[in-house]
Amino acid sequence: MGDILDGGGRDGVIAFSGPATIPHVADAWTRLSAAIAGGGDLIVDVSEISGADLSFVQLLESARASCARQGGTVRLAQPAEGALRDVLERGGFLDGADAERLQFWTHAGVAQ
Amino acid sequence: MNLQDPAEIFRLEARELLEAIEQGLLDLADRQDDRDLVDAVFRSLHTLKGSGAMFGMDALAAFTHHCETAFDRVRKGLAPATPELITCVLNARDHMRALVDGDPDPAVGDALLAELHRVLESGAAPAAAPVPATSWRVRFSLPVDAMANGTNPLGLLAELRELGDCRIVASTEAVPPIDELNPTDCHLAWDVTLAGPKVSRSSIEDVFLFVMDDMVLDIREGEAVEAFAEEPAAVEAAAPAAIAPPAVIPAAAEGKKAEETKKPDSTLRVPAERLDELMDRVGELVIAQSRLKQIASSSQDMALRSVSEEVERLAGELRDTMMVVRMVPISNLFGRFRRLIHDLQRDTGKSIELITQGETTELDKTIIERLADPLIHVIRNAADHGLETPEQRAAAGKPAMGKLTLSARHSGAEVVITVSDDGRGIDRERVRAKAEQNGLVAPGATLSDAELLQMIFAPGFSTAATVTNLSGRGVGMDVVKRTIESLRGAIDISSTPGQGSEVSLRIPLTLAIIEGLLVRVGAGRYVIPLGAVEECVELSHEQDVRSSGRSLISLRDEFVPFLRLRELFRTTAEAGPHQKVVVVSTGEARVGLVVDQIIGDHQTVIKSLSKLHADVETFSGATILGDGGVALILDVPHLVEAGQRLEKQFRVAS
Repeated sequence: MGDILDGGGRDGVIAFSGPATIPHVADAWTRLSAAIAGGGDLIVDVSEISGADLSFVQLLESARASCARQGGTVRLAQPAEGALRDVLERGGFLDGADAERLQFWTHAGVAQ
Repeated sequence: MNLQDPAEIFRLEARELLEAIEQGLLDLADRQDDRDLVDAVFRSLHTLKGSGAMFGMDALAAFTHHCETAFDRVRKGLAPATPELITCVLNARDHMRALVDGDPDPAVGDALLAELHRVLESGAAPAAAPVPATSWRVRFSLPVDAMANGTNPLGLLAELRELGDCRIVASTEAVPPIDELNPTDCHLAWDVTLAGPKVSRSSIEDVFLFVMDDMVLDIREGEAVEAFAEEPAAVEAAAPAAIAPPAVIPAAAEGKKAEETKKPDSTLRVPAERLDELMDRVGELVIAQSRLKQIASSSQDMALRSVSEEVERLAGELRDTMMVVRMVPISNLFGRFRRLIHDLQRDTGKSIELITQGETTELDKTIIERLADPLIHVIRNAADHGLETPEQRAAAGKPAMGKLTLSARHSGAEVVITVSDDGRGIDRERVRAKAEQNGLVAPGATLSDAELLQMIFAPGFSTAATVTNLSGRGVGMDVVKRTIESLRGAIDISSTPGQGSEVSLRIPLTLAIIEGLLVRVGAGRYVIPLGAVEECVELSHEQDVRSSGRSLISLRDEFVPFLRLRELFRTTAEAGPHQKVVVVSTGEARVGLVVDQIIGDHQTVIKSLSKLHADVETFSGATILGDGGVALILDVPHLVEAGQRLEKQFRVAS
């Protein structure tokens, strides 16, 4: 699933590629939790993923909450699209009153 | 039967499902608006279809699919559960059974499907009254291992969306921090607001049909959407019990849940042959134990005696446990007759109410199986000959609905199964006329009432003036009698003209081991089943001499016919000075058996006689004694019959 790329700045960038589904989620968890344990802000690049399911969404939600608790932030490199967006819509992640969540996934309400 | 074979396991389960479907349908015939029943039948059909397809029984799956669809329409209120539809699906169930058993008739299947479609179309509900759209609020979370086990929550959400207007909000409150997260677990929860005419509690529950067991599901009716906005999704932490269910939850749903939690009862499926084998071993052990007892009783060795007593106790307990293992409640058997009554109502045009009593009475599994056919005959007879048509009943001042009561109860070492009806009773004149016509009795012969009624069980006997497809062909009742006798049981029959008849089958609790009275006649030893023994009296020398040439003994001012077993068995050994009379009975009839000596009680493991001796009527089997010798077991019903014949001859002669 891709490599941790050094974004050049102070943000770590972690990029995923290929299917982001339950058979691969353990892999993603290993990398993401290691990155979060390292502290700091984190950018997650999901532009190269070829599929997604709720396990991946749950993982990113967990990452988001964990970062916030540590005082850091995690954000998506780009608004969720394609398969990921589809899972978010069907899973009811975009239909709530939680503005922060909406902002995290879609970058809505944030000046790009 | 190989229980490792998945197909065989499926067949077993399918048969159980089919039983459940049948019972559900029959219940539904009585309570056509019962949603729970409709749901239960639908679920069973659905499961049958699903597992059928899984085990490659595509024909079964395809056929069942049509019935499932039909019931789905009923469930959704698009079609009513008419008696016609129920009958149709019952017939379809029979075909499914044939498909499971592997001997289907494809023509039957096609005809059934055509019928099903016809019934469905004719019964289509006049566009069910539009249900006022209430909103529902559903909050749920899945078992943590749901995703790992292949459940896709998105699929469930999609199904919810199909129900009506739907707003879904995911909650991530319960998702643990990333260092504690097992990424394949599912910690998500959802808060769903649903509205639409199709939405109902059961339609929502159906979405979760296959994941319901461990999940948290809270369904509330009529909660306004505004309320939901004020109260952000905080679902998952609450256990289902913590969320106070609103008063609208029907008690039945609660009951169902309790049932579901009760279900994982640790039962074990064991092939009947293995139990039979075990029973054989227990039988051998009992024989060995009685040999040990005999040796111990003639020995002075106290240690041996004490061990012998210990073994006796253990063998007795083992035997009792073994008996209980084989016992099943008779409700299994009674349940089948509900279908029979349903079909009989249709075929005879009579309305029949079946009342069952004592369904928890337990009987040996083998016996229950063998009782099914005889009881079907008796019930058919009662419905066809006994009960009158509604018009006739009205004319006789009876309620239009005929009553058929099926009851079972324990009576000593026997179970008495009674089939009674409140019909017209047996027409004794017709029975007599028929018996004379068939040459069963001489014209004008004097017959007791019981004898006359017993004529019904004679081969080739039928009083039905018209032959229906149910009964009246003169086969059946004699088969009933033969079967019951082969079970060492007996049939009593009584009837009151205009008020109904009652047929009682008295069946021993078990076939394998009985308590017997061991007696000696000449040099041979014989066992009399203890359950039949009423009393033992001494036959004094004077009485013996007085009664020689006659066959009645006066017992407390009552004449009892007796049989000298010495004469019957043509023993040549010298008679002892203290002969005894063992009085045995079946039902009302009694007979005394004169024996040389009463040895004592004996736990008897019954060994059936070989085919070569199949026509021997006086003995019902043999047993092995403590000393390794063999004793024959007397067939009491036959001896009583023989005794009664003697009495009759005596009466005629005097």
